[in-house]
Amino acid sequence: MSAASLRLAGNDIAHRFGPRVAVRPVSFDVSAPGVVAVTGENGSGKSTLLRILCGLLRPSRGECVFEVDGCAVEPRRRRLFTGLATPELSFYEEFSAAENLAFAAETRGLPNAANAVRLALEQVGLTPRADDRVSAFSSGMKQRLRLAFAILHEPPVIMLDEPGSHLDDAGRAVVEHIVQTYGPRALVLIATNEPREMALAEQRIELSGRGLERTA
Amino acid sequence: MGRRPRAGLGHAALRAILVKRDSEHDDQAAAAAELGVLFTVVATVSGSLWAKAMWGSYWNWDPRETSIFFVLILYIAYLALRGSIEGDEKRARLSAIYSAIAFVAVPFLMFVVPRMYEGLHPDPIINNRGKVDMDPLIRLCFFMMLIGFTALYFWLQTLRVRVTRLERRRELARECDHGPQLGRVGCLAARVGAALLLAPAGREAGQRTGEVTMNFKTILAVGLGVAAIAIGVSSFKQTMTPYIGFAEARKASGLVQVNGKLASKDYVINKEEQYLKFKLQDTNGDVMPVEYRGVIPGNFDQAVSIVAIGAFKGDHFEANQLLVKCPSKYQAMESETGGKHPDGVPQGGPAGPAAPETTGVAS
Amino acid sequence: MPNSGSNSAVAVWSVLRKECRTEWRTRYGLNAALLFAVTSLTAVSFAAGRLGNRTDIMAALFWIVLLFATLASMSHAFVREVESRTMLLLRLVATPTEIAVGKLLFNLLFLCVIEAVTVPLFMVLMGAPPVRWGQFLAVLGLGTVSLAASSTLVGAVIAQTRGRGALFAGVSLPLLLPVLAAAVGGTREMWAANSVAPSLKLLGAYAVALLAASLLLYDHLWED
Repeated sequence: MSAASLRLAGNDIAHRFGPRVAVRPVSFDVSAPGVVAVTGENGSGKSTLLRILCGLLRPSRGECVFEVDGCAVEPRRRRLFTGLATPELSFYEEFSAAENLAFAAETRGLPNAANAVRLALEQVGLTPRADDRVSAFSSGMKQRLRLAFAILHEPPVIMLDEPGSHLDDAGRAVVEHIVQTYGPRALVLIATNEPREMALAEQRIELSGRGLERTA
Repeated sequence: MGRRPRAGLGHAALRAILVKRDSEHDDQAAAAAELGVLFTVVATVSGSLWAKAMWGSYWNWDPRETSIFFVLILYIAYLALRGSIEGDEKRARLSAIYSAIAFVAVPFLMFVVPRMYEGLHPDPIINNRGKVDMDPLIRLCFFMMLIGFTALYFWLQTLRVRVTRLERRRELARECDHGPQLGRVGCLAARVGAALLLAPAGREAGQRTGEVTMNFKTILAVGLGVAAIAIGVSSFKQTMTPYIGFAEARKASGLVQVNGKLASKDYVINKEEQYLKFKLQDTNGDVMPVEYRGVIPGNFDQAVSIVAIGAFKGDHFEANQLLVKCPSKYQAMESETGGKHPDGVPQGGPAGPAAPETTGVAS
Repeated sequence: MPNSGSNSAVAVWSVLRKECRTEWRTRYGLNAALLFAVTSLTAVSFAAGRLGNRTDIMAALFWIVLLFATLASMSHAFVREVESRTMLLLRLVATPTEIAVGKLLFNLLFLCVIEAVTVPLFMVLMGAPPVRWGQFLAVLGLGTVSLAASSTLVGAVIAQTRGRGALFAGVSLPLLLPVLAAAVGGTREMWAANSVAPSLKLLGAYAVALLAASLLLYDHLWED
């Protein structure tokens, strides 16, 4: 799946919640493989844009193109091809880290769920705490679990919203490791204002209406 | 009894809301629900006053009273739900879902449940014999009211939707005034943006992949729905004749309903002791003595048919509820129940002009 | 990866298993519901005493106890997801229909457990006459399906409102009244040794209509 060619484009996408503007019109066109930073001030709509791109939200204006191998994917099937890690994502506190990921893997219908869970936990350094309940996790460990959830099914698009929040230096190294591992074969979107994370990206979508800017 | 709430007119907009996401349709649905409450309340209150005049009590849980009460709480629940959802789009979507599921319940509440049980209301005027069984004068009155109130409804509906539209526009204008230093040009732009928002959102391309499964599910669901309606209708037909013959009633152990007419005029009636004894004859000609204790229906002697609910005890049927059906003023007079004046004004039953009720009840 | 029927079945099964496991670990949903059912049952039997042969009243009381237990506990399945903020996780791993069908099956199971406790207790406490089990279970089963179908859809809607649990009873009630009317009728006929077929047909038709409408509507539950 990670070998699939993928194109993600926005044509004048904008969103409002009632009268409140969440995303100003933005256009871009990116494709895998690559690392793209989504930047903008607080409240410029980075998280909302990611929700629109992975099909959770219908934009109030504009068009979003999500193509896998040249075929357009309708919004409600995009979750199959995306891994999303966002601060809004919470896990079942009464389950362990491994059980949470196993539930996700089984529900997504992954053929070798147990193996996928083991690999994902290994990559974020949670293996020693795999069988502890999430209710006992620190916020940094929960953030690592979110990262593991995003890469669990090896999706062609990985969206990381503020991936460095709550993380220590080792945790930030995990983020870098993930970007470096998946960047060459998938499309990695990082919504961030951290210079260190922005430096990982080759392209940038600047939110506030200016569209795509090349940084490299 | 021409007062029927215009229930469910809002549901027409449903598909449009869920599929096309047009806020205009949601405004229509909300207006229809608000007016639905208004019309239902008016129908309930006026019907209740009418019931006081005709049956002697404002409310007695007659099946049709019950069903209109259900519809009323359905509307109130819908409006309560709308009130507790934040965000226009979400409100439109969730309340559309609720009204769709309520749309499933309404036929059961309005048509199936009331007709399952015998009540005080006359036979459905537009009944399953496909005949409008109404006196010409009442018929004229009924249809004029029907047309008039329907027209009134549509007029009010249009007004309500226009008010909502204006409110929405004012809200956007206010947003511009306090908006982040947008100025006049920005205000104009926001209005154009709003106009675009209000227009039907274009559907995104590339749905071919999903269409096959979607269609299958739609067909499955529609098929199930049709099957359910068919079953519902067939059971509805069965329940149209809820009475059993006397022979069967003698064998049954629990409460049963029997229907028949007075076998002879020699009944014993004692209003002080609230005791009534008479002979009932069913359609097979079978005659059975019935004893009843309770409030004597005032119009017992004019009864064209009597429903007794109770159980068979020893040699007689002991009724704990009596329903007495009398000739309806609203139904066209048949030759055996009374004549008609040349000017078309219907006369009362055999007991003269003092015969008011369609039916009477006691329990 | 085509989203075939077997994949959906796997997802539904997985959601159902997760629900059961969560319930088993926390148990507060089931405990609260059972406690509520037993409480209302006790209240009813204290207030009404032994009704002996008044099986018509008994039938009504039986379904009122079940209805109350349903209204008190069934919004739980979705409200819990919203309160623990795990709805997003669920939406990312399964389609709305898969989630809702999974929850529907869980709600069915949940109701069956409640009934397994309530029914025998009711029969003993109220001194009910012998039951014709075939007919009784048919009425009970169809009634349960309708209760679960209505509660699942309304629960999913209610979880997204400001009031959450508070509105659930009021919003569910109009949808449950036809079930109540037909189920009470059926139970009464069962005890009166009359035919339950008309009530069963009505119950069945309503259950099928609710399920069919739900199936069409599940898709639109969470599309913001």
